[in-house]
Amino acid sequence: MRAALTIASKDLKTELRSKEMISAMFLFSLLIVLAFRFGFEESVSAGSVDMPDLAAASLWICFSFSAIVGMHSSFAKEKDRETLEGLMLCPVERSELYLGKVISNMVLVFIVDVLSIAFFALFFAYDYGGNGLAVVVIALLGTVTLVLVGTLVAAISVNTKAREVLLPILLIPLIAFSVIMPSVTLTGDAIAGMATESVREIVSIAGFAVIFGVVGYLTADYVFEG
Amino acid sequence: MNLKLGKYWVWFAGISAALMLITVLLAVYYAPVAASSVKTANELFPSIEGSTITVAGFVADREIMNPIRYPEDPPVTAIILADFSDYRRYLDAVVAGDLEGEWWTVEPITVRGPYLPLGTNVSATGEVVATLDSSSFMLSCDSSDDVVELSSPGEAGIMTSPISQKIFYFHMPSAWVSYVGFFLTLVFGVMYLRTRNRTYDRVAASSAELGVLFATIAIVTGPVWAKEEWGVYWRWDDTKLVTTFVMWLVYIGYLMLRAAVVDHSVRARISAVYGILGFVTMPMSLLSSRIAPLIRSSHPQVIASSSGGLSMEAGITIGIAVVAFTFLFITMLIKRVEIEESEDELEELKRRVGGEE
Amino acid sequence: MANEFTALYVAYTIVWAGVFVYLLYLFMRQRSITKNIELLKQELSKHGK
Repeated sequence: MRAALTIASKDLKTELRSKEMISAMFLFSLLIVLAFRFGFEESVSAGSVDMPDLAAASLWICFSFSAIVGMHSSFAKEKDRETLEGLMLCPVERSELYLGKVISNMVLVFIVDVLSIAFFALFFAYDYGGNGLAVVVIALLGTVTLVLVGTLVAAISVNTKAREVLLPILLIPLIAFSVIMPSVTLTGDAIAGMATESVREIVSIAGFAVIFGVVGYLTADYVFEG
Repeated sequence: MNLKLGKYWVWFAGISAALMLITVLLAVYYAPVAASSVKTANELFPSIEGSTITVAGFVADREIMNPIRYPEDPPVTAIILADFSDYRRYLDAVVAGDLEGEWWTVEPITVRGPYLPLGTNVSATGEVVATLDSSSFMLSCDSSDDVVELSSPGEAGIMTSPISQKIFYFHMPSAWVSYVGFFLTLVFGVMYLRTRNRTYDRVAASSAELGVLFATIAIVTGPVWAKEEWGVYWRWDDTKLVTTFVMWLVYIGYLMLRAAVVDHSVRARISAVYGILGFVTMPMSLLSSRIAPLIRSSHPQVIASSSGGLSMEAGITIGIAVVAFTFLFITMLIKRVEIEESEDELEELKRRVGGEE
Repeated sequence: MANEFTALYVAYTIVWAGVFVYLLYLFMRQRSITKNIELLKQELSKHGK
């Protein structure tokens, strides 16, 4: 676990210097929110759109795709600079390496999540029914599962030719049921102020976090190899 | 194929062809047109009082009721009793048009046409206790001494549209072998990671491809049936359809992943891991009509949890069909693995030729 | 009634067309690979001498 934290802090430190990942993710999510604002312009202005639904759906599209951008570059960067080999030469377990990457990705993705929640509120002049904090907590919960599986898939897809294209193709079917669907429901419920009643969704997201975490932990030896 | 099955492939092919022929004959001439004791709604309505579940054409879970309906049928109002303590009194009250009692809860729902509102959360199937008029009936759904509660959703029988029901004898076995294929992808992926034997990787890749083929067949034949039965090709509110579609996408991704890596050891390694990861979608699809109380699904539950489900004739036919498809799958798998082997041989030869020139 | 039979024909056709097209594809692939292998083997034996 200590090794994982070391790797995560190394990632975050380099990120703090260059800020290239987080700025890309942030801009990307900003543009998605903006696209939704333009796309729903007429119905939002007319007030004929179901705001909790729109907020939940567009926020999770935003979270998923900006996470994909971030998780992809967290490996692609290392691969291109040939530092991935260096990382693998470190005397740490591969599962620790996976955990480290998960932790650093989780921090970055969560920061971007919070920023997009704020920007959605700003662009749509929407206060989440006064339950903004609950929305943030659910974003954290869903992000944990999303990053646990996404980091593993990004580590897989970085070995391929068309890696930018392949990551969403490989990842989105996996997160459709495990993250996106329950999280959207949960976020909608949270805005209505009754997130605590959706036990089934919370259990399902947490359960998938456990499944993906265990698979990632056990297969890390094979993913990071060679 | 290392598994010594290779030279027997002709036998497998022969058996599967013979069984397929038998399946077609049985499906067309022997298997019942509908599951036993299920009639169309119009036949049923005059005499449903006192009968058990037969009124529901098929009932996929405890929450949803789906009588067989045709577009021209008048809408049906089903009145559901949540608390069934005094159904005679209740009955009188309903007939008198007084629905505002204190000692019962009623939730009337209206069912229109062949496409029925799924997830109209009425607590569904029960015993028919009264026919109110030619198009209304009443169900009880809470057990009491007076009324026997329905034991299982399977009692309703499945697949009731007379002819299109026969699609099922090919639809369900296709789905079954696709599950087998994806399971083998997982198993041989794990075996590859443990042993690094390339044969296992070849089997994993081949079975994933065949799984996608059969899943495609199942996904395409399903809507043909659904159009007849539900009135629509696809229902996004049916969990089985959506989970199967997602599973199909995952394995399409698996094949794309394999196609995007040149080095065979890297390809085998990472696709094995993705095969393990992607397998989480398989139980979701397989069990989605089983864990009905958790998620919504109107998909027919084939192997019912208690007696019922399939009639004997349908059971025999589907059994033979499943065996036939399994043999077909094994035959195709053997040939597919052989191709994978000769492809590797070709690569090797190309390298040698290229190296010398 | 004719309508219902249509659905049955369509579905059965899809099943068999799917299986046979795939088998055909496998067969063609197999043939081209064996042809290539034979060719390369000839090349190799020529150069091997």
